[in-house]
Amino acid sequence: MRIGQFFSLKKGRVGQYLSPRVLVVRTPFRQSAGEKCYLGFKRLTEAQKFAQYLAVMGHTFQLRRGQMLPQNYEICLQGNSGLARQLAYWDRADNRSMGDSHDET
Amino acid sequence: MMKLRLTQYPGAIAQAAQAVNEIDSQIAEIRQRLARLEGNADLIVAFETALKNDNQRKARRYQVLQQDATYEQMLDHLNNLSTQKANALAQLERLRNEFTVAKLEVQLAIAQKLASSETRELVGL
Repeated sequence: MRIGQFFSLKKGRVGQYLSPRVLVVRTPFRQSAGEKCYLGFKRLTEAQKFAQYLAVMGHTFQLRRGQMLPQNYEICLQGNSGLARQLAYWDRADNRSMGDSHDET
Repeated sequence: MMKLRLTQYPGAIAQAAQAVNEIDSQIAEIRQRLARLEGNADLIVAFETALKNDNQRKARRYQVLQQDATYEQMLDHLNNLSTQKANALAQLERLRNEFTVAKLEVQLAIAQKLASSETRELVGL
């Protein structure tokens, strides 16, 4: 996984990891497809807690087992790349402050 | 402050009440925007599973909010609006009280007029 670099996914999709737990998937030449953000969680309880906040904020999302990300669970958000960028910013900041020994969740 | 005529009070009171309502609506708007920013900060904190205890979470929330330049401005604006609302309410209250006093003064004047005419009738003038 290389943070920031674009990589190809199937069906014309392009992925970009914004942090080890945040993946943005775009479909560049299909406007209607929009973009999706995937947020990874190691534990279900963590994902559920985060999902509660998402619901309170009125976001539409899907919680499922990890498919796009290496974490055990992931939340898929339609659009909201601004939120994904914010989450990734703080995730990267945490990873930096904890050094290379950080245990990726 | 210039004293109003009795007939001017209802309009002035309505205007003062409207001013309070407008400030109230601005306060509600600011509170909504603040809640949005705070909700966003809560989301970021909830995403950071590396934060182990409440103190760390509170510190991160504060850090996230402080990074947003508009948050501090909105808080200041909210404080100003609260003061403005208190002043507008005081003005409204003052107008209402003045209106009551003005009505009583008119009633008193009528009563005095009636009393003096009755006295004159009594003495046969």
